[in-house]
Amino acid sequence: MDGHLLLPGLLLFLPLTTGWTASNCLVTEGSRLHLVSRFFLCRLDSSLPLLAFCSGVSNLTQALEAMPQGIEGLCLGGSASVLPPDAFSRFPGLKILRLFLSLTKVLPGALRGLEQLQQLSFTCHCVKDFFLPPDAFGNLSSLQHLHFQYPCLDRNLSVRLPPTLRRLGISRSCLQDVGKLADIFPDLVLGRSSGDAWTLDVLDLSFNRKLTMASPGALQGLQVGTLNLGHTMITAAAVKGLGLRRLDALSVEHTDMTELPAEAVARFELQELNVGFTRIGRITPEALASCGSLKSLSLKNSGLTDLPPGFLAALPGLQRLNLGSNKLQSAVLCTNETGVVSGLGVLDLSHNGLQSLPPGAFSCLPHLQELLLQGNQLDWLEGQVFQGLRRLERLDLSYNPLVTLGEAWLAHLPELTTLNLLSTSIMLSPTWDFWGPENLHDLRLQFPSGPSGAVLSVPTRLTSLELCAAPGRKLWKLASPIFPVLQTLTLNGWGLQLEARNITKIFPALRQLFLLGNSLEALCSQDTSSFFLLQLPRLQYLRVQGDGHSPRPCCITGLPNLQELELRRLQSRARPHSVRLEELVGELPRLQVLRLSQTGLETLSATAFQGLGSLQVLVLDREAGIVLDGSLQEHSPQMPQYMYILSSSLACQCANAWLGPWLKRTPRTYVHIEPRQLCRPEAGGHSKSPLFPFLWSRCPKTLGLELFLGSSALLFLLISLPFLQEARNSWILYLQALFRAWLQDLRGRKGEGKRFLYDVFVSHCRQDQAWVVQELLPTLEGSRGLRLCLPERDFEPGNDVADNVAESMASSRVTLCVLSCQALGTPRCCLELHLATSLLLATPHPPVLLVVFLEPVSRHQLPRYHRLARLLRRGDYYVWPKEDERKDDFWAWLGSRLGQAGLG
Amino acid sequence: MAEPPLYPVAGAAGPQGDEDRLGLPDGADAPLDELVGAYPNYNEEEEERRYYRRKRLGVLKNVLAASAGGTLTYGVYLGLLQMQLILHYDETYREVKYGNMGLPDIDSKMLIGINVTPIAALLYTPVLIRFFGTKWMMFLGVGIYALFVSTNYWERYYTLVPSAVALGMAIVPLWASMGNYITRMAQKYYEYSHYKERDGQDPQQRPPRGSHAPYLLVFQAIFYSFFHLSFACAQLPMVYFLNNYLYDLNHTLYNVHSCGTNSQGILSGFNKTVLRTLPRSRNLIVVESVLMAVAFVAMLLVLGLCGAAYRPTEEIDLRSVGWGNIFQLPFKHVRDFRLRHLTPFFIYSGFEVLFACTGLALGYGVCSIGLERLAYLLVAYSLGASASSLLCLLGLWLPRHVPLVSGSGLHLLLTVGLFFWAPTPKVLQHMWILYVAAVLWGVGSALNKTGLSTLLGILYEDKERQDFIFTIYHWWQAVAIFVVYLGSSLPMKAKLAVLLLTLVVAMISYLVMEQKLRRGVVPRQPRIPRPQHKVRGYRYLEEDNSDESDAEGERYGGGGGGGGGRGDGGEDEALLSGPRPGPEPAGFGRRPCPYEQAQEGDGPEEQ
Repeated sequence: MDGHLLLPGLLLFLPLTTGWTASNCLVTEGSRLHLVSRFFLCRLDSSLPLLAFCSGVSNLTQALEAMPQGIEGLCLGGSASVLPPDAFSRFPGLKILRLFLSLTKVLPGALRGLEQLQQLSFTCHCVKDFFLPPDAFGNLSSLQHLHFQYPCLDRNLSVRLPPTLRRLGISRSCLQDVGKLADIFPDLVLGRSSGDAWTLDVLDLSFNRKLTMASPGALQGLQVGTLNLGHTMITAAAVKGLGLRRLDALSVEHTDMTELPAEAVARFELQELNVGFTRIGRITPEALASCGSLKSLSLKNSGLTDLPPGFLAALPGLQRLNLGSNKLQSAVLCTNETGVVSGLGVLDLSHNGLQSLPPGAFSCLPHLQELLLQGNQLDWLEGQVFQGLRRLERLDLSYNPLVTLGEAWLAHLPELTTLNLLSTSIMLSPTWDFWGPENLHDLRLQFPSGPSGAVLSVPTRLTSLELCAAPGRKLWKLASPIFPVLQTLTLNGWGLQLEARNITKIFPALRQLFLLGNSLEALCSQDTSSFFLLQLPRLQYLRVQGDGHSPRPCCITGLPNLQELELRRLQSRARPHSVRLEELVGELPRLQVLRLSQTGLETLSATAFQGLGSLQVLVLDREAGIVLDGSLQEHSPQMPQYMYILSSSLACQCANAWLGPWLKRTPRTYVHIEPRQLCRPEAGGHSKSPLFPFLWSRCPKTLGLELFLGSSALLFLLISLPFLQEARNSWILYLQALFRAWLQDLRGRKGEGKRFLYDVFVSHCRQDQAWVVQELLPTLEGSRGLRLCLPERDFEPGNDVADNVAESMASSRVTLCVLSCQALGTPRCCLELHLATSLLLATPHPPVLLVVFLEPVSRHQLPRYHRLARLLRRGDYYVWPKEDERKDDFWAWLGSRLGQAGLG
Repeated sequence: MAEPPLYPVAGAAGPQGDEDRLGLPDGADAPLDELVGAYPNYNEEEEERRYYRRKRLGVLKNVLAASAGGTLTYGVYLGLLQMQLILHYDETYREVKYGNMGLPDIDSKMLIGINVTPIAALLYTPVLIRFFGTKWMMFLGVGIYALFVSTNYWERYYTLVPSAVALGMAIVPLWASMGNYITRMAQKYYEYSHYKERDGQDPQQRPPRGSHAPYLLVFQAIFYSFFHLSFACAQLPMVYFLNNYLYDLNHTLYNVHSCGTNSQGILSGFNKTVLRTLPRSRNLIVVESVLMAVAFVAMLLVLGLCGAAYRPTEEIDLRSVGWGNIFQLPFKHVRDFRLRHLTPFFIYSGFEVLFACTGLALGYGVCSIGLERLAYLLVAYSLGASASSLLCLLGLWLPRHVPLVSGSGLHLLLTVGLFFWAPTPKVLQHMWILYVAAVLWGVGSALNKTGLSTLLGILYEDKERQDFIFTIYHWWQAVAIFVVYLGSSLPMKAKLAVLLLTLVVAMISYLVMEQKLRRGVVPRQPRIPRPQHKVRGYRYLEEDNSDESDAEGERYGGGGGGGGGRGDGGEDEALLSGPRPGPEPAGFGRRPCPYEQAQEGDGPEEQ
């Protein structure tokens, strides 16, 4: 309550926070990039130690100032239009720089100081022209990749390229002619600037939808590793005429190509050709004949219905073949009559609609290591179908309606290590066994839909096992009591019957565990919801993904080696309730990464971090109304180094108020919060205001200030005691007299008669006492019958002299000051005179002050002469005459003045 | 001037009213005792004895209250300062709680305020003490210490720095008036316990020289025994609060490579972070409130339980010598060879206490056994000092230079020992040596402090100059503390060398002084001018003492003390300061001060 009153004053001293728009950058370590990659909207190398992504940059200098200096990968997005000189000179270690700015101009020297920069890209989804100074890249002595995604670069001329450049890309531009490149970057072309031919590993011209022409000889002498012409209108034949000295790979995806670019292949003896997503449909043997140099061929989604006979024979050097997403009905790669043995290592036949595979379909591929058959219509596999695949290591049969498998179908695959049988309908019989492949270590298996509740027998040498179960089935038992080398276990749904007690014995080497679907609940103990029974000492990675039906949180604790934990969708959709972090995680001493997504987390407090001593990264994703408890502030030294609060909102509560200032100061913890945190004020207010300024202005935080003010006020009061003690004799008397006069005025004239004890207060010094006693006293007390107050006689004994003076003066109707030179030299008389004049000034009905001079007194001797002169009227003072005859005049004056004062 | 009587004067046997209605004679011969009706079993001697016993108990109470008040104040101040400096040292704490406020800057300004401001204290301390009076000066000083505690609730530039400057201003006045107070209490105790002897002799004659020395010794021992406990009190916030948050030595001393005699500056290489977790603001406020409450208690102790050091009349006389004289007199005392010879000791006295707190505790202690044991080390120092302050009571039987010299000798041995000792960081085996060193250093400190204060009280019995002497003593200490503050970045060997040098010079100089005194060399002391009651006091509205009766006036006019013969040693008549007010009877050095009448007991009695 008091805090609200104090706040306006407080705010005068403290600069108001300028909103929360400055920190729109996401900083992460490269090794943690995968945690935030969903928000990291640009491709950066995860091997770099520190990466940053900023969006909405309008002032480049300001945004860069907030950046830590050790950044090596940087993405900037926003509306800044000019790259000023020395923009990045603070970051000499920068290796990758991607600019998604609406740049129109790069000023000379803008990229100065980036000697270590390796990759640079400019992207703009705008319609502006873009100007580069000719020596823009002059000092980038390590630059290897340069990429432009710009509407138009055509108006730039003679831009020098650094000699280290290996990869150049110009995408989404208005480039129409490949030859234009030579104008923009004359270095590329032989003989213009240097004698040697330029070598590029990659020249990427994809997405230039207007690119149709390739003027012959435009890139004369250039050596290119890979030329990417995807999404362009150029014909493969035109490539021939460019004058390239060397070309190894050509990618013409998404072009309107209808047949293999055999001439280009033949011309350059291409080793790699990618004609995916085209409308080839059919390959002619003639075209195939000239493609003998190919080592890798991708025909993905190119509308093939069948392959020409002798396909493999025509491509003797082929090692990788991608035939995925075509319409092949039968995989007749091996025709028995030819007997040709191909060196093919990888074969992709996925998503082709294959119904069946003939026995020995791959018999001519003894070197095949990887066979991908997922997404076909296979429902039955003969025992002999994989005959001859002695080297096959990876076999993917998922997403096939497989029901039965031939007897000993795996017997021909001695080298098989990875087998994927997910999303199939295989009837597993209890006696069914994976005999044959000795080396099988990665198995993905769908629990069959048939009879259940039996014993499942899988090879015990597996290192990775994925089991997928439909809900509601009876649990399977594992036949083998122990899996000594199993490291990764994925349980999708809950199909296995695992005894919590002996799970350590069954999976002694388990490192990674994925629990998907509703399997978490089964692992939580039934009676105590806070105890996770999986006591797996070596577990390093755990991912728990609920299905939105968990009624209560399950505390994951007691895993001594767990390093990364991911919890997703644990909140019950039907009955959402908020949880505290300590209800989700307990004692996990080595946990480094904790990622929470849709867990209903509400409160984060220091207690939750007690058991998480090594936590480095905390990611909160899609959590609403988070409260970061104030105890975290004190816990700052132990806080994780990175905290990402993504797609989440902070609660508009005072408990979060400390966060705003803290975020700016915290030296160890990098916190990323969604920039636009809004706060809806009390009910009725429609406008939303930014969270932190709102909380800052509303929440009291001044207990310390209040205590300081209170205690120091008290102290000042106490300290003033010595001063008061000291002042008691001087000015406090006047204050007292004034206060009394004021009080009397308040009381008014009531009881006025009783107020005055004396009629006349006579102020005089001891030297003048003779005159007072001999002259004044007889006249006034004797003949006139007035009551005089004489200090020597009437002062109350024992009282302070000064108190007595003030008291008596106040209770007398008239004050008569007897002044002489001696009297003016006496402190007491001066005090009395001061008091009398002060009273004259202060009271609204001033008492009568009469002054009698016993001798002529110089005005210089009179204290405060001018004030006195102004206050006294003409008749208020009189000089005591020396001559006897004039004394009557004096008495007459005194009598009349006293009479006027009502003392007639 | 012949004055006609205004009213009947009691005692003046006038013609009117020789007898009143009771028929008893009035006037000087009137048996007032009979009129009042004495208590039938009234035993005057017994009553007198009881009266003075009460008085003596009151004096004891004063001493205890002042000691306790001083202890609590200094303990709170030291504890708070220590806690805040440790907290502010921690990088995270600073950044998290104060961000861009520049706390290190504020802290250094604060230390400047505390350490540099006392240098000016010589100019104003006597004026302040005389203006407010000893007791009120103590109260004011304690109040300013409390104000410093209060500002720590709200740590900002505009609170901390002004309060630190105010604190720096209050240091010398507070401790000078405290020393003055204790000395004065010893003198009063002597008066109250020897009232019979004083009755017999001329009341204006001073007690024999050195007669109050035993009481002084006891009182100073009590005071310093209390005062040194303040170092232990100051560790309570550490022990009960801050130690729970500190990292252990493996973290804090990670980069510390040399300790003790090999170290340079204060704890170079000490980790920038010392706090495992930050204390919660609310807990800090609780701790500060406890400290604040203790400071209040100390204030109330001084306010309520400490009686005045002087009678009001004496106070007025003390301040009536003219402010200019009061200002000058500390400087004039430099002529006194005793003070000149003691100056190195004063300086050493400042050096050694700061060396115990920084050099020994930080450079040797924290550097090798970690911050978490700092509190215990200082507690050892404090308890050793507190206990051995009572050791000074041996001075009742030994020559007065023995405690001082033995304390210094102990320090000498310790310093030489420390000169050759460089404890290894992070090694706890030699912890006991540190504790022993701390305790022994405390013993030396206690002997030093108690001995010096007692010595000053014995050498300067004159109550008109005690406050000057104590001001000079504490000012030199403040100068020494300032020098230590300036040289805090020196290598430990240099610090030890300076300490050693000062100590040797101080001892030699002190022994030379004692030798001179034994030879009977008379020191030159500035004369204290006669009080002039021109001020508007509540008793002296007029120049003449209205309370004074003729008979008294005559007696004082004639029988005043013997000028230069009075006091302790020759007064420097030739260097009289200020004009002599009024005509003085020839042959008399000066008129007796009116407070000496007051010793008769006519003023408002103090407790």
